[in-house]
Amino acid sequence: MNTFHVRPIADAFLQNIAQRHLMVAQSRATGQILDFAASWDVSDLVWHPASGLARLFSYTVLWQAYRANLAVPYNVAWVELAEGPRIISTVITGDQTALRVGIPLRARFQEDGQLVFEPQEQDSALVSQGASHD
Amino acid sequence: MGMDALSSIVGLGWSEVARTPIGTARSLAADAARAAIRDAGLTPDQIDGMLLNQSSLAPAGTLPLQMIDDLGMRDLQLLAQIDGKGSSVLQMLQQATLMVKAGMASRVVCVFADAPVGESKASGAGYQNESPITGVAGWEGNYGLFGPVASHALLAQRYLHEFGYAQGQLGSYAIACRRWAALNPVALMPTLLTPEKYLAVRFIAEPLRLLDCAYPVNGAAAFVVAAAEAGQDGPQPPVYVHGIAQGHRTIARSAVQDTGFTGGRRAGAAAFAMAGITPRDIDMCQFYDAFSICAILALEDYGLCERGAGLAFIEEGATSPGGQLPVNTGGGHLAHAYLQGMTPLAEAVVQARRQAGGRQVERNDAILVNGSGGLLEYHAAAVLSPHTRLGSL
Repeated sequence: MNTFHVRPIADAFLQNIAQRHLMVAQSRATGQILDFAASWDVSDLVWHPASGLARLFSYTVLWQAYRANLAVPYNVAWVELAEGPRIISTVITGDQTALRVGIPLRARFQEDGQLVFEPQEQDSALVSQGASHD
Repeated sequence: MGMDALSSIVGLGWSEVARTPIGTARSLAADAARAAIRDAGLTPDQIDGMLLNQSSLAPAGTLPLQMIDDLGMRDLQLLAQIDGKGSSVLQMLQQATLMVKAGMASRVVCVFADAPVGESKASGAGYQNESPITGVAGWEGNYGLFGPVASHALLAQRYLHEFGYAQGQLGSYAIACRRWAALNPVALMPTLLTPEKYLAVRFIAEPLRLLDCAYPVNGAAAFVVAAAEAGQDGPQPPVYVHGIAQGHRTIARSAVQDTGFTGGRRAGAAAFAMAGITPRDIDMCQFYDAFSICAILALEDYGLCERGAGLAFIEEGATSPGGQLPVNTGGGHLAHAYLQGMTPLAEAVVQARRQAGGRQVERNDAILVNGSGGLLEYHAAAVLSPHTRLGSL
């Protein structure tokens, strides 16, 4: 039986996110952490909880409302997880002008289930409670 | 050591180009194709191949194969649509080159057309597609990452940080493009820009401002490719193709995949090797610069500047009129017109023919043209010259 699916990692990633788990996929054979777009033999995959630690690889603040329901300005963050994969998300911050490439971030899930990041300097109690303060 | 050219570009033509509705992309494509064929001193019945490139954001079938009827063509040996996003125009040139070099076609017309600007919609409204950066379907939409401006803004922000530039320094590129456009009678944004004026323009997605973005238009352009040996047969000065190659690489989705370069590195290296030259031999560049950051990164990916040095090179005037390496001498996508891959290719042909008037670059022996699409993931590059041989100049 063919054990290659087109996007097994992306599919499982989304299932994990729906359960409010940020997980990373690893190859048993090589030990490498795989990015979420990789096409891979599902029988070689093992999933681990991500540390939640990350850095801001890049970001942009959008001033153009591409959808009527989006209030500008808002930020889109390109986040590099400590484990290696990069994903798009947003940084929850009261001060978007304080965003800088390279700042340390920590992942959390909002009440609506959305995965977001916040600067690590912020109150870590909020992170452990998974509370939303936006 | 010199090498013989691979093919020749013997005709170039345009439709009307405007910010207002002037017809369908298909009708504009036919206008441009006829103009290019006429420019080559030919009639449509002498054309035996046609390649079509529509915008990847236009509805399927915008430029259908039935266009052979529009042009009154019969008995073609080559007919196809090419879809490689921003690399498509040079992919048409590559396929046409292979066909004429192999004797499988003799004269191939290559056409691009687009008509994205309507009566009542903003010119940028057509550009809202999701950018698949994470590689998980639908993911980016959760965070409001729509449109190519925002995804290129992520590249630009990273670049500025990594190499220690201030946000406002990006403006030097748009300023240089306006200096070239001021010398181009058909450029649509020919007024000069100052740093102050640039900084007063609104952000679309930081650090990219409105003037860091392509200027959408309705219009078409076309060119005719023949064998290198047939270059002298027509009324126009021939433009020879010496190297042409593709390079594709998806955006790095993890730290270990990140080489710091795009697929342009491979496309450029292959095109230079084919032409028997190095980046140092390039006299000018015509880049696909839908956003300012595209041209900055192209200078580096294609080996004209060290990594991180591209923006400083632009800022010191090296790419401006009178500079050591002119870039986008017609004004490019920002200040001439956004006809996707055709804007840089057409300007390269005009410069190689010495028909660029007040913006003519004196040294035009080796011209680098590129096309790029996606998030700088899909590249093609060509080396053009007015000479049949390169390398012994």
